[in-house]
Amino acid sequence: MKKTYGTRNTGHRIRGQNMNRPTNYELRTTSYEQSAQALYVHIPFCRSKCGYCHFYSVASSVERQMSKVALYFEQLKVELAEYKGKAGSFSTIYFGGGTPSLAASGLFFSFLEFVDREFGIGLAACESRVRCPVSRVSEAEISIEANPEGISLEYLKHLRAAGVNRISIGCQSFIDGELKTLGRRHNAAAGLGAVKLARRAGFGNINVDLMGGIPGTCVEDLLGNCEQAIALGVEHISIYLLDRKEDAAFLAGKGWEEEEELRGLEMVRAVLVKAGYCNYELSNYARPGFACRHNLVYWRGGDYIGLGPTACSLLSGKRYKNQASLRGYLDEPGKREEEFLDSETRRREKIMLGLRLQEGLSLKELSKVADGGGRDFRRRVARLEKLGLLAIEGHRLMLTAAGQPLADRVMVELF
Amino acid sequence: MEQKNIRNFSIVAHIDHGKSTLADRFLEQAGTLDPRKKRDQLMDNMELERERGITIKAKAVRLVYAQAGREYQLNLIDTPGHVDFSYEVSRSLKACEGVLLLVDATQGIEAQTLAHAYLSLEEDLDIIPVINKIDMRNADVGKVRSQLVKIFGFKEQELIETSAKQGDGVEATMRAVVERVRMPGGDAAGPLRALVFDSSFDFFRGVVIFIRMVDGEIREGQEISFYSSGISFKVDEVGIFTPERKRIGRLAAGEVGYFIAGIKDPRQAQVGDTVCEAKQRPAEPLPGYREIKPVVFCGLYPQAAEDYGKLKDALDRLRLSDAALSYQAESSQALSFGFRCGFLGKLHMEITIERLEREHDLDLIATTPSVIYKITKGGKEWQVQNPADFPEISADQEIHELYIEISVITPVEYMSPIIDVLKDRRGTHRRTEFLDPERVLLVYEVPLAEVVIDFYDRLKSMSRGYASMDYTPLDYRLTQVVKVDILINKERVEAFSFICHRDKARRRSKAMVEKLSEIIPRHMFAVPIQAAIGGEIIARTNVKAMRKDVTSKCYGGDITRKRKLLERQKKGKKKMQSIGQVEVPKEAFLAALKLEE
Repeated sequence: MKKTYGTRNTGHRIRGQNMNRPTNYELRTTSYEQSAQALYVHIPFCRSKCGYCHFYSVASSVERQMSKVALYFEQLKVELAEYKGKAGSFSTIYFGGGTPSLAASGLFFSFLEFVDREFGIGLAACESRVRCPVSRVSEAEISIEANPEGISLEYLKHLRAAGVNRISIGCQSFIDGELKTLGRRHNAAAGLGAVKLARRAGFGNINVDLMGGIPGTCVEDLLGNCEQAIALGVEHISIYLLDRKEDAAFLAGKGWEEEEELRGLEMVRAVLVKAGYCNYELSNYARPGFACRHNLVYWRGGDYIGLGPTACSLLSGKRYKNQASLRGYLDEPGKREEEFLDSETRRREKIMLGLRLQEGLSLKELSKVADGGGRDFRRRVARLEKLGLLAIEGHRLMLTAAGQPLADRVMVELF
Repeated sequence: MEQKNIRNFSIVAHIDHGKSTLADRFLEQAGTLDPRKKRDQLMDNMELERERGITIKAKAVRLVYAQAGREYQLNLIDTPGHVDFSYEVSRSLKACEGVLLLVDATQGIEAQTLAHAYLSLEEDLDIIPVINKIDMRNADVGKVRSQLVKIFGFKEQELIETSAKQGDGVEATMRAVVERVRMPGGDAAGPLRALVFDSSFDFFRGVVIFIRMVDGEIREGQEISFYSSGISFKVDEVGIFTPERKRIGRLAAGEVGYFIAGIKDPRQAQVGDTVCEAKQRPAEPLPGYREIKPVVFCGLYPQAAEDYGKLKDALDRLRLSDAALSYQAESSQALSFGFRCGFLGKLHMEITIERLEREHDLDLIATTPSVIYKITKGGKEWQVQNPADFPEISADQEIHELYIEISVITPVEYMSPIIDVLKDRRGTHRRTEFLDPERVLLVYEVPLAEVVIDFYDRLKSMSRGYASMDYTPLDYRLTQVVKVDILINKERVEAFSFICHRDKARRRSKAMVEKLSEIIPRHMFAVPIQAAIGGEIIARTNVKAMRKDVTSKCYGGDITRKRKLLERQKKGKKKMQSIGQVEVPKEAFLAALKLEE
């Protein structure tokens, strides 16, 4: 399987461009000195909290949030303005949550316009297909997370017109019982509908999130969900297993047994690879050319800027973390913790992130960050190779199929 | 004082039967102790002794008691109250002509009551039976009286009843000492012979030697020597205990007191040795001296490696007041540096550990106690107490282990489970004796090795605390013990090796490998854990391979947290001992060292 992902994600009618020609973005990889090219925007609003979710958000009714959300978007601009000079143009933007799809499409429109004006994301006007004063496309990958409930065709079209070109839909499952267990507000039909709606609205790059290991379910349920996603023809599928440690409180000891998890991971991989998806990251599958470029920036160790409460930024070897309070953020958007990443820490992060990728970890890149651990490191790699958990191809180090379910363990060995 | 006005006696009793309280009453009665200033049980002067109710070091107090116009010198020699100190007890008894056999009216005769009584009979002492705690609500004086009559053949009129706590019967007891204990023998005009029955250490003066005068006298300025070593010293100070040290310049035949002679090493003044004049060595020493040899061993390690020096200092100091304690440096894979320590028994070990921890502010790890094995091969004989030194199996070698005679007194209802345990511990039945319809004495011969590990605790829990025990060493006997090695991922790990009887090897091995498999974390491969005698595998288990350990989500906001999680795991791994490819946590070594029967 190919280890590079030429990215083809717009499918837009861009003036003067042949829409069929793939647009290849050269991702400049992994020098901490470069300026950030990825922008994450956290939208910390939800209608209700899900038991298994660890992301920061505030739950309240849409009506009560409307004015607050508008104010919040203004504050995002204030925070972003601080980074002027520390970032050039962005090649990816990701609206994550929370539930970004709770915010009015106009807010995205004006926010993206602001980003384009101040930093540049290659926004260009295009032929409008909705009743909208202007319609735009971007050369950048602009993703938004959305929940199946409460999104209309109109809303999705407006997002497209604002420049958003990738949508990640939090379906989680296509089985009503599972959705109920997870405490989701939508049902299976709504999940299917949302994906179809996104397609109709013109999204050519759709991700579906699926969840495995839900109490009371089996591997076959998860495989069924994968088949559904394949049938929907989505470009990208993220599959997360509930974790015995991380989600202990939610699972209350009723999750999958290790053997089930293992079988689940194996079968999912087999099914999706057979359907033409590439397992480019431990939990992520994409059709060729549709790997999430934004997330690749994280995994390849690139710099990024994050806006909003709890969002993190990585700039020139320092990581910043915004405060975990919406109220605090609205008062003081620039308040954040700073963490200096020394060479050992950077080495570890490289290992931890790089090994998640199918393309693996570049040993050349690793030796740029630190001396790579020297002979001891090579000895440990050799041992893991002997155990059949790691493989070396050229100057790249990657997990084998047997190593993938033990990824964390392997990383610790190399730390 | 004339010998005919001197009485030397001890109080012997089972633990907690009220010995120390009675001793205090004597001191008050004789006016030696000001009741306003008294601390409870003054004769136990170590904090630990008071807390555990055990007198560890014998002390001697001179009481002046007037009766019928005559003044008597009563020397009360306190004896250590536990089985491990039976040699010291017997030395203390050698310094006496009589004993008060004290029995708790609420408990009746216990194992140590018997042991002490037999010891006193062996020494041909005048025994005065005393029933104590008669004021207690649950006292059954009648029953205890009949036990004493039936078991020891005392006459009804010999029995004295007291309540040391209330002070009742104390006067009668003192009178009985004067009337019933014979005066000390010995030749007042002969050359000096005195029995060393204990010692303590004074940081300014050196060793304080407790003696019972037999022949002649000892004076300040005199040149004396110890019979066993022949080393001589000049006596600086001679005195008695009141109970504080009081210098009186000389001691005559029959008297009890102490002397100081600038001796720095307590091992030069061994209990049981005979003090004589340096220039006039007697033809015969006083009988019964033998070198004290430790029989129970364990490793002591500081919890914090940097406390090693502190532990060494503490042991050095402790040995000054406890000549029976022995130790030598050793190191262990799991616990780094510490000491292999030898003790007279399990309780001696426990008390020593507690004293080290409490008086010297140390946190210690003690390994499972072990015993000595004697090995003979090709005409050579040597001793082994550490599995690491144990020889490989060979046909032409013989191994001997120490057997003891153990006496257990228990309420009849617990008899059968106790017998099962004794049998299981390779015990041979000697006799069974019903002390009364409810209580039975069981006498067994058992290897010491079977008793040092958790036997006493088992006995106590099986009998809800009612059973008591005592033991005396017998002899070394031929035995079939083997060394069991533990292999982790096919590699032998010395720290896990243990010695045990061949018949028990399988069971203990199984327990050991199972315990280890619980503690050793899962690796990326299966880890076999095996137990082997020589090349033969006798137990095995596997730590199953870890199959899945992967975090699903890892994005920009999670990276630091995720990295820290992995770093914590890494740190945990570093704390473990690497054996080949396997990481073994410290707890595994501890659990192995603490593995119970």
